[in-house]
Amino acid sequence: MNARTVFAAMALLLPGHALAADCEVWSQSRCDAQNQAAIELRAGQTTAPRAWSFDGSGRVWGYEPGLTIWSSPALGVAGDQPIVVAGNYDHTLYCLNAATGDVLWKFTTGGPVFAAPVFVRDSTHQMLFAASNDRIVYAIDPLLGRQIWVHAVEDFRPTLGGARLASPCVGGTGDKDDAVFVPYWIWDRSLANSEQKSGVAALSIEDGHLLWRADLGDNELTAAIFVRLQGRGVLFLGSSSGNLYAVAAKSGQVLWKKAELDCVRSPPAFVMTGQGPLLVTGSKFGTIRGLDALSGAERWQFRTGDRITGSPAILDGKQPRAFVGSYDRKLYSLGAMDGSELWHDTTRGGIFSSPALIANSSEPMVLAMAWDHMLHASDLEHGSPLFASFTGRPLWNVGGMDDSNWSSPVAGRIRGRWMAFVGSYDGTLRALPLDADERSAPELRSNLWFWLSFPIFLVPIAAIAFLLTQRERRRRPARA
Amino acid sequence: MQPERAPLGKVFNTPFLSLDGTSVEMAALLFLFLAVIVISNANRHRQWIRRGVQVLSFMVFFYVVYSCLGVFGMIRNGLYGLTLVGSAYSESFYWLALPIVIIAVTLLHGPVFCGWICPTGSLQDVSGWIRKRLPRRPGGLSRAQMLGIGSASLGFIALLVWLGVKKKLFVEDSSLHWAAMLLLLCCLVLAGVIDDIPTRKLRIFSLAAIFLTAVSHMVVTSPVHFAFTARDDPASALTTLVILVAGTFVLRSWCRYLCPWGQFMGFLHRFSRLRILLDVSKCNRCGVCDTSCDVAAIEKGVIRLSNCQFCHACVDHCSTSALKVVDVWSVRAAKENERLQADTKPSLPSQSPSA
Repeated sequence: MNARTVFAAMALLLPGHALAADCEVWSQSRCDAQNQAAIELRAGQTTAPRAWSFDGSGRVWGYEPGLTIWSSPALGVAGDQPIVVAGNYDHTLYCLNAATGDVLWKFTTGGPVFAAPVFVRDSTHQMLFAASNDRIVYAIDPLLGRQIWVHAVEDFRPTLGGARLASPCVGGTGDKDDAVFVPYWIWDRSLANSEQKSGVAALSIEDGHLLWRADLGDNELTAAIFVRLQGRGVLFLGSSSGNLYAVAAKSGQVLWKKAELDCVRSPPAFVMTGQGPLLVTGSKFGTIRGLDALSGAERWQFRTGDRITGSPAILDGKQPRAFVGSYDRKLYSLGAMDGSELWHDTTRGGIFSSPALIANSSEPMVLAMAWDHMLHASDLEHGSPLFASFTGRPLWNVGGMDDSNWSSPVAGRIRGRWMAFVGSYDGTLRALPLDADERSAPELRSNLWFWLSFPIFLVPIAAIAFLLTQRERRRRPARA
Repeated sequence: MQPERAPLGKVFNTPFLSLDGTSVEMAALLFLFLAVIVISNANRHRQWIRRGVQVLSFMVFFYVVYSCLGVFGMIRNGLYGLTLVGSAYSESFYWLALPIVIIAVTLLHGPVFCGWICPTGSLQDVSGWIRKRLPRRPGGLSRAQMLGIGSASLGFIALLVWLGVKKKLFVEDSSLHWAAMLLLLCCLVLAGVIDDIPTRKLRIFSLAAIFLTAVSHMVVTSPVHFAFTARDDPASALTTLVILVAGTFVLRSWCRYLCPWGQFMGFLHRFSRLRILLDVSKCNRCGVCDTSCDVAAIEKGVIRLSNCQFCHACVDHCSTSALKVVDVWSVRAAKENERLQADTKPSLPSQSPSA
């Protein structure tokens, strides 16, 4: 009897239902297992939130860019302040006051931080976990920015080529949240070793010691989501080799593996439906799939016109809905039960981000970022566009459009006001008010400087060509 | 539910994407260079073989290569690779691999990249093929040519305006400036305001501009950049279209006037092992070599090294075999050897047989 059969039998026999973690604490890459990426920040601070931007690009005379935000931000509370934390290409983790944009602390790691940090906050712990591409998982005090413990998922050796550590997620090997799970992908392409491997490391929250390690092949892994399903913790994650895994949080045993999917670049979303637990996943070749979370069996699929790199987000309810952005420039809303299309909103660029859902608001909306360099807000119910805000100039050299998962928007409510937090590839972290009376007008689209630069370039070039010709013509008779 | 079909656009722009950043990508390019080194020595049907290699090369760049390896990107990424030496060796190797291979092959085998492999050059050969079949009026601009280049310029301006309305344009889209420059230069050359040969010095400015933008962390995407990756890059696509169209007015006009990488290749060609040389005793001054060269790099049998793309067209068209590919390093070494022997003979009288 294999693990899948045992697990399916247990699911049928055991009473109870699945519990997806409520998003009171940002304990997963997109806050909760539904990937809603929206949270209420109940902080004692009285400062009202306002629009701000933090330019940490540190652009200097040189080729290497400074701060380029790859990681999605994470929101939490430290002391009495609402905070936003984002990892960056410049190896640094930045913590800012979410209401004012003041920098509270910086924490330097040994490598670029692509993964979103996560928080744990209970009666005994208040910690922030960040996974850096230096192969190290850092536990940090969110109030002071001091290191509590570190754990290297692979010991250093000089031939190691690099690593991609996905966003950690907090969960429990038992009933309590006592572990942090970190998917990793490391490679050593030296002739002597020539290997690449991926897996999940489960670390104790207390001191970072290794609880177990699951080997999941040799391809890049997405972040994992943690769900308590039928009384036991399960991790769901995908890989760029096209596998979707269900891993037991207690032991690291692979419960099932769905192998027919295309390349999966971002974690699935989970929801409990009337028909049982459901996973929704998007693939790089544009297919959104609904899968039975107990067995991995496919329930439905929906094809978009191009690749999907962001995670789906699910809005729970009687009729759960999934929201997915695609490179075909559309943001889709689908019925999570059968994959039927409810609406789509069209943008001017491929949507690369995971959406953030703001349901608990007078103006429910879904946020997504696209390659038209705008943050788009669409009406949650009907998909009609609400507003779009410019998120910064492009930065092509550091990676292709779909070479990596770029930063996705998140939302937080501070003192009753919803704010979006957006890390952009231009190196700026922005906070934008979402309430109708406070949001700023979209930046004027002006290509004036671009047009003016044409005569500035063309006239001197033509003049130089003319002068060169005149010089040559003067010389030619002399030579003859 | 949607019907079960793969969208055409996806099939078009995502083949072999998984090879991005892998050794397969680099191995394919290396194979291409090795193949050219071997094949370019063929004496029969060499120009047909070159066309075949260009098609293969285009397929490799379009379907396999996803790194930014356009004529601007190679300079930028080469510099980027240099900054990584000492900190990230594997990534540094990845970015430096192609520029180093091209430099090494150019030094050992001449600038075959330009004549045999470069996808921008291959595209211009397509428009050049059309150009050669159009009627020409010697010594001036025909009405058809005037109409053609006028229409092309107006079409470019219209597309530029349309693009500006649809899209916010950034420094990254500045390949459009190169496109505008190319059209302007072609117009001026055809009108006789400026001459072809001195205008080629503008490639130095082009190279300097790309170098300066690269070190100051500004990115200008290459003309064929849109084809290397799945990026939404209409500016690059429009520039590529302009290069294609400009090639129907002046053969390989991009290579002649603006290609920064071509300027670098021309500089390296001065030091390369292989060179095309004229045997004056065999030359019958028929002038076929002058007309066979798409970049007008040869004039009365004298080759301008800075412009020669080593396509071997002049060698293959020469009816008297007066033009030959010569290993100048060997010739130089042999001459040096002879000089040394001549120098050493008198100084070693004791070794002479008579002694």
